[in-house]
Amino acid sequence: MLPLGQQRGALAFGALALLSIGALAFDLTLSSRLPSAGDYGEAAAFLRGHARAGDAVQIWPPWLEQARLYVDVGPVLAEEDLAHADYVGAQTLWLLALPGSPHANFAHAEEELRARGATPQAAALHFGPLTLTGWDLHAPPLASDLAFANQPREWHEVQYVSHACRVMPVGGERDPSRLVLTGDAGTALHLRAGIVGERAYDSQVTPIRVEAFASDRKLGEVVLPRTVDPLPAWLGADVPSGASGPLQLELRAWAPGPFRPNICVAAWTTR
Amino acid sequence: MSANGTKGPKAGRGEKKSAAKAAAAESVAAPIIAAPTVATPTISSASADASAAASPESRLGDRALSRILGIATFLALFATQAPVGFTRDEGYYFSAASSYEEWIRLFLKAPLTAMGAAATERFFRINSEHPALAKMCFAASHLVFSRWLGLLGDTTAWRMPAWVFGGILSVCLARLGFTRSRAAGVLAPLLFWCAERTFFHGHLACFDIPICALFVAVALAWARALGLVDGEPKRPWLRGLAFGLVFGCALATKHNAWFLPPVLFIHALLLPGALRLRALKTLPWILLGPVVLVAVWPLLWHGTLRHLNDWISFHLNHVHYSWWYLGDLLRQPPFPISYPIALLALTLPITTVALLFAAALRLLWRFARRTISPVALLELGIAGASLLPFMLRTTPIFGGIKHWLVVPALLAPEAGQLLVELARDASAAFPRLRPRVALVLAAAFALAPGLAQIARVHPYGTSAYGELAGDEPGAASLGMQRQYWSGNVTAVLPWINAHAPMGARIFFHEVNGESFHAYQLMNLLRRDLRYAGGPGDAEYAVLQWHREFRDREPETWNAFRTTRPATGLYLEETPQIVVYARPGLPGAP
Repeated sequence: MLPLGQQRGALAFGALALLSIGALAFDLTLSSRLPSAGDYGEAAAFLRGHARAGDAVQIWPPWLEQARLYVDVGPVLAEEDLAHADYVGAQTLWLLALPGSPHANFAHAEEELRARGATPQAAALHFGPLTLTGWDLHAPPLASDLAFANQPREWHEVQYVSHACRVMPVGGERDPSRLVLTGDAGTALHLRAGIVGERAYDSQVTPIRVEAFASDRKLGEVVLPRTVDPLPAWLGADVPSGASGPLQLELRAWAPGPFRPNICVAAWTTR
Repeated sequence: MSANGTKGPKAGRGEKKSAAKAAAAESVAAPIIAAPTVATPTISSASADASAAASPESRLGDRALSRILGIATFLALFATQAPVGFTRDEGYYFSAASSYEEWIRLFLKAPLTAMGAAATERFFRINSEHPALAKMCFAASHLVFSRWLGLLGDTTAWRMPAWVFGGILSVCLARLGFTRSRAAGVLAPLLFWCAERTFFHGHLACFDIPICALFVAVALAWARALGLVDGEPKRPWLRGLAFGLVFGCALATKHNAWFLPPVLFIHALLLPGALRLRALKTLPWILLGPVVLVAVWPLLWHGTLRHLNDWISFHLNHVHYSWWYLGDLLRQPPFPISYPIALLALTLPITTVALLFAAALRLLWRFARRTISPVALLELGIAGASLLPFMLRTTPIFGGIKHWLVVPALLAPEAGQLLVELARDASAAFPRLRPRVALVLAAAFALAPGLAQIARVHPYGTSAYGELAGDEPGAASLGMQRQYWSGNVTAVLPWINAHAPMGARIFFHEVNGESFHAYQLMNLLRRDLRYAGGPGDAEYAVLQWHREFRDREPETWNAFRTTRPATGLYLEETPQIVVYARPGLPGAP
């Protein structure tokens, strides 16, 4: 019979062997659990054939950005909060995912989509380790993307996520900065705003008000406090547009304090 | 018994008990950390045990073996350096080394002029926030091997001293390991280097490996001066002098070395009686440190106090860089107290993590039970002291594990000994498993994941993560810093060279001007290409994926009117470098 110390040592040797073999198995099979160019190519080809104008592609995990090399339909979005992401105008959201990657938490992504009322259109398609699922967002149809009705889309970063939005300076209470947007009024106005870049975290930020007016009637407002992770910083209001036909929307942005970082705004109407 | 109280191959339980009894009696008399199983409660027994553990022949063999390990480390770093990108900090040190080299040439021609205030201010003002020794080595290497002999390219010559420091680190780790067993001495440097993060840092003309090597060298020199290593000194003053000079070199490399004197003082106080006295008598040699610092840093030859003040002020008021950690972008204190330990656990291979963790626990356990050996206590103290500043929650924490590489280094000898003991126990449990085979197997189990990590990730060392994180994809999902220092850009330079039109303007994002010119100097980047300040005035944009710089990508989309990249470096699928080209240009999608 071995002394207790040597028995423990032998057990530790066995544990080390198991740990090492497990680690090697994990490391050496990792690349086989990741998609190849061919997998991406097939997924992109499927999307080319099946996606409709206005559809959006969401990648998961959000770092699956290599997809942008291959997917050439719709905006390829790397939203991190799928329950509250905008997906402006999209009826179908294509979720291109790598569910088997470590800590991917794919179930969480699906839960978030379900939480916003989305439902999968069919079973997931598999392209190697990639899965592609069309989700019906059950979103009201887009009346007008006011922010980009008269100009190409531009993108800006708010809380480390790229958003399609227009940059606005921020004025004072008596001289707010203004941005006029036009389009179809639809029945509901969706206003989103966030402070751009790292300055959003500056301790000097005082709450920034973004007010939406139509014919001098205030339709709604968004208040942007200093960004503090993990609280959301891309904030919004969904209000009745209060009119029909053409809409001229005036956005006014102001803050009481002297530190006024740029903000980014998006606005669209739905029927 | 070996000099540090670890069991020799045939030491039985009975021997251990009797040794423990004897030393326990000694520890009652001495209010210090004395080790019952330690062979060095007194100077005489220390030397006796050291002699028993290492005869002159075997000591000679150990020294030769440690040198072989050092040379092997140098050659391994040399052989694998070519694809390692020039990091941001290296760019600054290359510039500083160029300036220092000019001063050395002036010194060789006109020493008095070179020693004057005008010359020292002119040539050493650049990068004056760090002492000069490492940069002087880079400069001297470039002067000799590139300018005079023409044997090496510019950047290779600048980097070569770093590999020498890597070799010195291996030698010192082996020597500390040999105080336990011969196998532990071989395993200690292997355990340290078999991880992509440590291996990567070994290549760079930076201070991280040099200061790590010098911390370990100070530990070894101190242990030698006290007779804990290499037996009783015949000429104690010589070993004291060596200790003082090595400490001076550490001080002249990076300010971290100022943490060493208090640690050594506490170590001295915790030693048994006679040894404590010797340690306290040896400690004054530490005063050589500032002398060496001033001697090798010509900037301090004139306006000494002013420059010292600038140096200290820089580090006391160091800026905080944004750093992504477990989904939070850390910008300012307080930082998580667990940060340095968690980062070690998430970046190193899992077997290394397990062994280092076990080694730390064993050392702490022995310290608590007052059975730790003086050498192990020294290793534990210096490792702890190098970690402690980063657990204060206020120290700037950018740069991953490079700032506390001393921790894995000084735990490696104990971890190596643990492996030796595991192999011995396994062999005892399974008689058909011969001891040597068991040891080779144990080493293979311990080192294989690290070797696999190097094979998988090198040369993109700042992006490497271990199995606990789920490798690089897992770390990306966990919200860990993707990379830093911009060195990964080497992956896309061939694509840029092949596609960019003559004279094209490239926005290189985090690659600073110094590194850009270094790439051109080494013909890794075409010399006709120009450096653009932003995507707005660029034809191509080479973005490094950083959480804190996510604004650069939409900025590029807006400027280039496309959201589709042209190419990129996607390491195990995670975006590291993303290249955009303006539509219509060669390579654009």
